[in-house]
Amino acid sequence: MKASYLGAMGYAQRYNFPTTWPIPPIYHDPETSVRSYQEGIEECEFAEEMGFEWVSFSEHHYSGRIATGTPAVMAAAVAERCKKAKIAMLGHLLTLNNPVRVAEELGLLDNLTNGRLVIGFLRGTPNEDQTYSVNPSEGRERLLEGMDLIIKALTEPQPFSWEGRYYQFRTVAVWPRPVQQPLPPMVVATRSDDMLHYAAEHKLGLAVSFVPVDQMARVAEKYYAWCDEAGWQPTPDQIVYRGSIYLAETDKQAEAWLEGVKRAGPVPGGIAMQPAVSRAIQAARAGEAFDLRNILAGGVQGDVAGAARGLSFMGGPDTVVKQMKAFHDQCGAGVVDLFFQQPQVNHREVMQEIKLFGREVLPHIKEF
Amino acid sequence: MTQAGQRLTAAGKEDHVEVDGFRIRYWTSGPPRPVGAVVMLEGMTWGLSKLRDALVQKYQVIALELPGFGASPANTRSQSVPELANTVAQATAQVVPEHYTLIGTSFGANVALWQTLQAPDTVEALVLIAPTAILPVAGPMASTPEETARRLFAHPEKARGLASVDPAIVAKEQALVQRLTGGMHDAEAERRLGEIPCATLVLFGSEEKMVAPEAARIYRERIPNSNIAFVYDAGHLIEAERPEALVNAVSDYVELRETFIVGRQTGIINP
Repeated sequence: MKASYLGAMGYAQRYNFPTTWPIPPIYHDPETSVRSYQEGIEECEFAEEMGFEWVSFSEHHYSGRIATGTPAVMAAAVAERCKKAKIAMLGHLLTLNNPVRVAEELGLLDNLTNGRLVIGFLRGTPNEDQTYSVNPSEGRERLLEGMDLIIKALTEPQPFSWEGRYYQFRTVAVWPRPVQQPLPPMVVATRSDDMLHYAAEHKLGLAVSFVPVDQMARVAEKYYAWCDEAGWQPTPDQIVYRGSIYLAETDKQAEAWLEGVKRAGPVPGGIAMQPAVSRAIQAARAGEAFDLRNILAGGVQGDVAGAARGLSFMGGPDTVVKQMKAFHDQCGAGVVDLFFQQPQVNHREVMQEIKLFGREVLPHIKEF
Repeated sequence: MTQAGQRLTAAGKEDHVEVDGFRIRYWTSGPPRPVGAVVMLEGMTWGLSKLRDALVQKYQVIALELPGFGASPANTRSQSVPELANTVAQATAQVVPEHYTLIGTSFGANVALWQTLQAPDTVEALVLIAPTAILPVAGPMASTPEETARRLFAHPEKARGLASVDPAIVAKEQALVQRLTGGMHDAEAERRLGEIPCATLVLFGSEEKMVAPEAARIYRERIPNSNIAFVYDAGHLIEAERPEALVNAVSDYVELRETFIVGRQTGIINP
């Protein structure tokens, strides 16, 4: 099993954020922000030094928690500092983006890294739909078409037109082409059946984020079955699990930390929205009718869309190794993409965790 | 049962010409003052009714029934696709005295390709929809309706709506296509693609299964003034699965030819 460091580039004072999304830009202090990105890059470099084989980036908007709204820019900066690690774009939110532009960014990144790029396709959490005013009910179809278009754009050697449902481009000729031919490794981040089908049929890998091991196992089981139907089986590197982690010297220390977090009050790690907005998005995504009057009359409190689901891995090294082995054994996960930047953990502590992980966890999980 | 010829009848005024011993029917329709002429050669079994309906708003549209297709008698005389194309070129010359845009689909596109090679001065623009001349997927003809649907459609369940075509017509057309092409790559057509002088658009469904995916780039490389287009989420029968997208692309191309790539839609939301 390999380890991947999620380059979240969280704003240093993220523990001050409200529990809502978006985070008002008034919370942003330029000096703190610049320092935060430098610290985030240092963490990526140190993770590579400690044996992490991937560094990943994820598109998130309007928040300093994962402060990479333009992940390709961040990846390009880190790729100049991390010279060995795979640069994993896990990834662009295709529903929000022009797929041709995404293909161009991916092609350029694979060239800048001399073939170290890993590509992930995903839709994103419900709040992200609002970033560029995308209709949530169209997200899934936009994603499916976007994936097809990106693959075509990265592989077709002649200029072409694309006559899609959501995208029409009369001239597509992406330059530069990827270094890795015919395509860099690709994974689809999903738990939805139609996306699992797509990944299996197109011989793409699978990424699952933040769910418990039994839930990922059920997803992986379906995916493996459909891969089998399609006549192939994924390699371990094609099964990625992204999870949050808090690693301490001992289980007792980790538990003490968690108790302290709970005592401090509501965790500012979620992405709560106004109840009516959250309901409207969920209804649109599900293709259901949405009546605002019911929401206003119902007095719904604290509806949270896509809230962080707690820690996937927590404890001392031995415990975390066992937790990761469960994902390997039960789901076939060959890569764990780890989110260390918990809201209450500062840069110094993250660096300590990375060091401890490299020393006490990584040697063991590499043997899986 | 619906016969292909009866379907075409609804598309305009029927007439016929005599060429090479064939009685070739055609249907003409269009506005009182058309801005140009479009000749359509339909492929096997299923027609281009939606595309025709769109084009007749501006153009004089002539739908020609290929000898051996639709309700015409079995064609046992044509010995090759170029020979059949020559017959069709002569028929077209009788119907359309001057220049025209030529559109063909599937096997009809193969005939259109050869017709353009043989009558290059009359074809102003060429549109090839899912042509099978270059790199057809090898193998015998499908033996069951289910297998046929899998080959023709991105979503075979959509084939149910097209199941009313007379099986005798399908069998007659398949026999002719098989005899003339053998389901094989047309190396001579590929060699001569560079001789096509007119603006040419080649369209394939993104889920095309009858032709290898590399075919599109061969047309783009060899035909001097050409564009290729992929219609998302469509198989071989593009019009059946993405009619609006096909109509949009082809209509734009017939009107604008290679300049159809220039954006014309406004981005203004609230002026």
